[in-house]
Amino acid sequence: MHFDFALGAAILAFIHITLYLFLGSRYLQHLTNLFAVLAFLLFMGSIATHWKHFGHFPSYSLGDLFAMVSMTLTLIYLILFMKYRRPLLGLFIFPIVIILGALVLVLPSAAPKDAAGISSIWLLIHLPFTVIGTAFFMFATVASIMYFLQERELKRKNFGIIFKRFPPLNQIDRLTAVNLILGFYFFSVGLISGFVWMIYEPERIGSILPKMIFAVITWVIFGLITYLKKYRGMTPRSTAYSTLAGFISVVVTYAGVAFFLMG
Amino acid sequence: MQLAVVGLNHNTAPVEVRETLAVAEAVLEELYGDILQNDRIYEAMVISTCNRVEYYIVTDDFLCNVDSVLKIIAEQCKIDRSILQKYTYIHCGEESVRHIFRVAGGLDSLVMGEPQIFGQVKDAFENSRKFGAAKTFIRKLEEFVIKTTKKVRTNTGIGDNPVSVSSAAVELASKIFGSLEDKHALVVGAGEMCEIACKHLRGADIGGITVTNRTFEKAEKLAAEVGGKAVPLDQFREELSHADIVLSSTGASGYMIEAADIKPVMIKRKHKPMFFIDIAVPRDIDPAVADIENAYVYDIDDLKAVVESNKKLRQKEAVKAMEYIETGVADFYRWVESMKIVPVIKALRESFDEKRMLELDRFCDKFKVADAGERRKLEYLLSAFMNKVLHTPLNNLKDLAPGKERYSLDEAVKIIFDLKE
Repeated sequence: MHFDFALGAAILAFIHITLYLFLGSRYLQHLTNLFAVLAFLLFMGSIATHWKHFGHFPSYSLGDLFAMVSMTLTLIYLILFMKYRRPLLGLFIFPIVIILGALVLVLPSAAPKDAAGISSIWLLIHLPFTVIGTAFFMFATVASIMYFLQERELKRKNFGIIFKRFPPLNQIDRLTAVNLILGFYFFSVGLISGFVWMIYEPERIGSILPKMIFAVITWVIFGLITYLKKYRGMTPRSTAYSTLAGFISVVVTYAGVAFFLMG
Repeated sequence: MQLAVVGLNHNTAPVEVRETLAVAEAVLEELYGDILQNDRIYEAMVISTCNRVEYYIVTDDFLCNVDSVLKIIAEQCKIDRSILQKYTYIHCGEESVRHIFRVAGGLDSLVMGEPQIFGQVKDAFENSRKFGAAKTFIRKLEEFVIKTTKKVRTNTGIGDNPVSVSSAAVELASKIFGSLEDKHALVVGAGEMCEIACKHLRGADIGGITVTNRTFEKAEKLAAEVGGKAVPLDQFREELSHADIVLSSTGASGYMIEAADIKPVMIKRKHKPMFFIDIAVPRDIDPAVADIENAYVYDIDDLKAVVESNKKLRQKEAVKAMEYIETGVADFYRWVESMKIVPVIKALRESFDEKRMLELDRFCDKFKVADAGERRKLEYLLSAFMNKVLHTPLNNLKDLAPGKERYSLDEAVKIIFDLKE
């Protein structure tokens, strides 16, 4: 039940940020953030209820994972808003939260009968760090899209809603860079701890390997973008295209592998 | 008493007439003295800016007294009355109050929404107080004008979108770079347009400005004025890689900056954005520069288009601003109406005071109260009783005075004295 309400709050946040884009009222911005806080608390409540019900942390199904990603995306949106005051990130993030949330409702979420909770400390590190890293990568992608749109308005000399409401190019670029660096840091820790966990539980390698391969691909793509951006002056447009490629890799890692390769 | 205004502005009078009628601060004292010599003009205020001269008077016979103000202006400025009448407008009552609200909010300005006029109106009110021409009416008007104008400027976007070419360029730069504090501008040319643009950039707290010009001395002069540095024209290309904003306005017949100049610069800058503002005709910057990634080129026509679009936005905001002004005017008139009851309240109090003192004297005579202390106690008692009795009716009178409702006598007494049915 908590999850349904959380999804409802995320939908309301999305509706209000869309209205803010067109109307520009600060009240709509405040309402968006209010619903985002509500969504985060309800997502947390839902995970806690789930945990209590099964007696261990919900981390066995794709649905569980998507619920965690939804909660983390909402939390990072709120943290980034407090730091950078850029609510329009929500215009792109809330649809992702809503889609993931809808999938959670569709996907089976029951734990296997023999599940005994998270058995290894490495998995305990791997799971949140990977999820947080992924969430930051998603934000980097979103910021890149925003850059792309704002740049197009400036080049075309079109002074419409996007020009007026979207942040200045430099700020969007900085947001992309910050999200890339943070995403890379968290994802790296998550990936390394995942490898160590695999060493301790080699019998699981077979089922996890496809996911690990795609996770490494994602890590390499985002690592390369982070490096090129920071040290080689990668152009924002190239960054936008590259992060989109990285985002596709994230989607494949999470969904594609799970659906088609049974990882 | 009502407010009346006689004045002229950029819409009604040419600059030759406006400059003749402009009021210097040195003559204000004498001018206020002349206006207030008329017994029927109780208060006055004069606004004089480069675009308007307006005389506000508080009077009870506006037709007759506006005429006397016109006479004073004609004498003071040595201008024929008929010429003066041709260019002036006259508003009276609510229309004049609405007018001052519109003026202070920048809705009647040449550049709609410009903020300077608010400061000039505040100065005019201050001068009126300084020279003893502002009493209750003008002081209260000042209070309402300031309060409403602040609301207009805070709650509407009347002053948000720049409507000059230079300020539009700075706004565009802010849309690319956000804060300009750590950014550097290279200004090619040292003419008037460059000077204005430099001042706008300085106003936006830009990190640094480099000026270059064919005549190096002119570049040095402008650089000194805006706290920047000057470089000779033949060396300016070396400065390009440090420049986030390049503004050019020279009289050159060919391009000063070509796409081939910028490509290596972009690599050197690690593709950080560059904003080119070309306000020269013929153009100084090769339009092909715009094809380079992260280079944004705006010429004079682009900037004019921004200005026109911003003007339209301000027009839209003016509609919102008028709603605040109408509320302000209504609030002010509620106060004016409530003031009409003041003489009645005053007379009522005086009558009660008179009777209180009469009764006190009679009581003291009858019961031989000679002790001053005893008398003071009785006086206190009577005074407290009178205040208690008058408190409700006087408050009700003040509250109900601005209303337009009509009551029968018995209804009025019941309402004023708060009597139950």
